Amino acid sequence: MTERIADAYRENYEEMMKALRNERIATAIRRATIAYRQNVSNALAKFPHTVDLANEVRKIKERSIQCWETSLKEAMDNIADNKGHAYFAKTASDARRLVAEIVGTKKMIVKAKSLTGEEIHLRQHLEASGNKVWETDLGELILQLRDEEPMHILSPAIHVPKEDVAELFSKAMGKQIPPDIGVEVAAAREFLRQRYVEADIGMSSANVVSADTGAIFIIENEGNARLATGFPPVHVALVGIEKLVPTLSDGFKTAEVTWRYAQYAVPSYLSMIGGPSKTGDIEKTTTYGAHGPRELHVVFLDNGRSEMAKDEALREALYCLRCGGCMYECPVFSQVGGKFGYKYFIGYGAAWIAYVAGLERAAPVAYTCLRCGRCVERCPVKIDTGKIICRLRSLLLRDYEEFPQS
Amino acid sequence: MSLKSPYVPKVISIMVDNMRRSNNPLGISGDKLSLWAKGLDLPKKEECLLYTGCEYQLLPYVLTLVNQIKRMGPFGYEGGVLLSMAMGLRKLGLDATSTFASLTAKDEEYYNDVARTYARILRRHGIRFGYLGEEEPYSGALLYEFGLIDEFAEHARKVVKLFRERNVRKVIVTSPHALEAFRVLYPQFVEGFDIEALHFTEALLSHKQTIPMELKEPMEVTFHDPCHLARTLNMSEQPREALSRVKNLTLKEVPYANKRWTTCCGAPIETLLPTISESVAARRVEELASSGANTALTMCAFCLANLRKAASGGKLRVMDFAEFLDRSLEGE
Repeated sequence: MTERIADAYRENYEEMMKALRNERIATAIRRATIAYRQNVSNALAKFPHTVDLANEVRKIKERSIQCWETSLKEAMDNIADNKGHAYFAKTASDARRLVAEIVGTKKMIVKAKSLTGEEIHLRQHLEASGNKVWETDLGELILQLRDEEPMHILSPAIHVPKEDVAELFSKAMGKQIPPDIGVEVAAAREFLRQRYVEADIGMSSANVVSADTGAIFIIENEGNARLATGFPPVHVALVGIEKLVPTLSDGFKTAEVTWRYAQYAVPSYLSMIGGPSKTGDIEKTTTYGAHGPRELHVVFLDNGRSEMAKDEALREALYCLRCGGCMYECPVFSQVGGKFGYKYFIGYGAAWIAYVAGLERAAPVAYTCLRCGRCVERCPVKIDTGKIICRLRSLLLRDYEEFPQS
Repeated sequence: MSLKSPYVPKVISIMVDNMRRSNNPLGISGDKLSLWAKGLDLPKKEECLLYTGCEYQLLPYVLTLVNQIKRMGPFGYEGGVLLSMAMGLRKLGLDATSTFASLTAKDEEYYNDVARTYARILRRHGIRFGYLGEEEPYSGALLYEFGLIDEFAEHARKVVKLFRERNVRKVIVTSPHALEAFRVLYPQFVEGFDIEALHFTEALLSHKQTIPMELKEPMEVTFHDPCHLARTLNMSEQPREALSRVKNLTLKEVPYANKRWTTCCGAPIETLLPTISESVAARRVEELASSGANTALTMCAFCLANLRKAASGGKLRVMDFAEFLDRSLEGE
C-alpha cells in the first residue's frame, strides 16, 4: 500500500511540476481569469437577485443530499412513467456495464461534455468494447484529438492556444486550418456535422434532475448537447445522484445559479428532457420516436457519493454546481491548472477524489491546498474548503483504515 | 501522538513530534523564541498581554528548514520529501540541531526586530501590556491546519490554562493565525473560554490617544491582506484605517485582488511544495506591484517571509506593517 501511495504522490508531483514549467498554462489561465471575472461581474450586475437565489440553492442542495434516496426512487419512477428507462449504478463498473449493455458494440456515439463520464472513463471503455465515440464539445474534442485529460471542468482545453488547435485540426481533418479561432470553430462544426447524422447513440450527463418529473436539465452554449441528445435515435444520460433536486422549480433555480456563476447572463441553451420524443398528432394516439430520440436511458451513478453524504464535512463537496468559478480564484490552479487534482480539481475536489478514486489520489491534493479560502469567496453555494481539507487531513492521519475504499 | 499513517508527508510528522517535545512545530526553546524582547523590559504580570504566537521568531528557522528540504540531493525536491516516508527525514540529517546550526544571523535579527516594532508601537501609544517571555506558547494553529484536531484541542487547553494561571484577561495579537485560534477555534474547544483577543490594529484604533505619524516624504504603499485576517476574521478595514492616520502616505490598492479577494502568498505549502509555493508568491508579488506602489505592507509573519523571498532582487519592497509604522513614528 505504501508503494501505491508513494507512486500517487510522485505522479501527481511530476505532473504538477511539468505544468508549472509550461508557461502556456499560466498565460492561458491568466487570460481566462480576467475574462471570467469581468463576465461574471457583468452577469451578476444585470441579475443581482442571483446572490440571494444562490443562498436558496445552497439550502436546496443541503435538503436534496439528505433525501437523495427518496428523490432517486421518485425520479426513476417518473422516468419510467414518461416511457424512459432509468437505472441505478452503485459503482463505476456497474455504470460502465449498464451503459455498455445499452450501447452494444460497433456503434457510432456522439457525446456531450460529461465530468461524470470522465470520472468512470466512459469513452475509453466504450471504445474498448468496439464503438466509435466522438466528443462534440469543442474543448473535449481538442483533448480527444490530443489524447489528454481535461484541465478545467467547464473549459477542459483552457491550456491549449489557437496555434496548437490549428495544427491539431489540420492533421485530424486532413486540410490546412489557420490559427484563426473563427475558422477553427467552423472546422469543428463541419467535421462533426455528419457524425451527428450518422450516430446511433447520443450521450450526455445533466446539470440537474428534478425528481418530481424525472426531467433532466442540460445547460450549454455550443448547441452540441442539443444535437447529440436530439438527433440520434437513442439518448443515454449518465447522472450523478447529487444532481437530484426534489422539484422542477428547484431545478430551474439550481440551473439559473449554475449558469450565472459560470459567467453567463443567460446561456444559449437550456434543454429540459422529460422523456423520449413523441407525438399525438394523429388521432391523439401517443406514438414514441418522433423527430428526437426514440429511446431515453438515464443511468444514475452513486460511486461513493452516498458515502460522502454521510460525512458531515465532506458532504459539502456534493453541493457543487460545477460552475467552475472557484478554479479561477485558486492560486495553485493558476500555476498548474487541472494538475492540482485528479479527475476533480482544487481543494474541495479532494473530497470527490477520495471517494471516486481513492485516498492515495486524494492525499497529494489535500496537502497541496493552501486553505486560503478564495474559492469559498467565489462559490455560489459556499462550499467550505477549509473544513473539507481539515477533515480529509484528519482522515488521512487517523481514520484512513475505516474509509470506504472504492 | 505517533503518526503511523502511510499517507502523511514526513515533514508533518516531524513538526508534530516537535510539538510534542517543545510545544512548537520546529522544536525551538522558549529562551530563543523570546530573545527579541531582550532589553525591552516587558512585564510578565499584566492583565493584557502582547501575544506573538512565536511566529516572527520561528521564521528564520522555517526558512532554513525549507532551504534544507530543497537542498537534500536526490531527495531534495518536494516529491522526494513526500516519498521519503520510509526513510525518515531524520536519517537524512533533517532535525532541529542540524537545521538550526545553519541559521543565518541576518534573518534572525530581522524577524526579531519586526517583532520588536509591534511592542514599540504599542508602547508609544501608551498601551499597557505584558509579555510571557520564554513561557509564551505557540497557538497550535498548525495542528488544526494539518487535521490533528484532538492534539489541537489538548494544546488549546494547555495554552488557556497557562493564560488563566497568569490572570490574563486580554491579549493583543500580532498574528492572523493566532487570532483565528483565539477568536474562532479556542471557543470551540475550550470550555468557558473567556479571554478577549484584539488584533494589533484593533488595539491601536480603539486607543483614544492617537499619536501623530508622519512621513517626511510623500510615499505610496500597497497592502497585502493576509488570507485569514481578511476572510476568516473579516478584518480588511482596520489595517487601512490605521494606515490612513499616517500623514503623507497614499494607499494604492491591488486591482481586484484585495480585501476579501486577496491572493494567498503561498506560504501554507512552503514546507511541503517549496517550488509551487515560490511560484504562487512570485505571482502575488507581480499583483502587488501592479498597484503602482513600490512598497507592499503585510501583517502576517508567513506572508512577510514568503513575499520578501519572492520580491528579493526585484523592484517591490515588502515590509511588515508594524515595521513600516515604527519607521514613520521615527519620522524616517
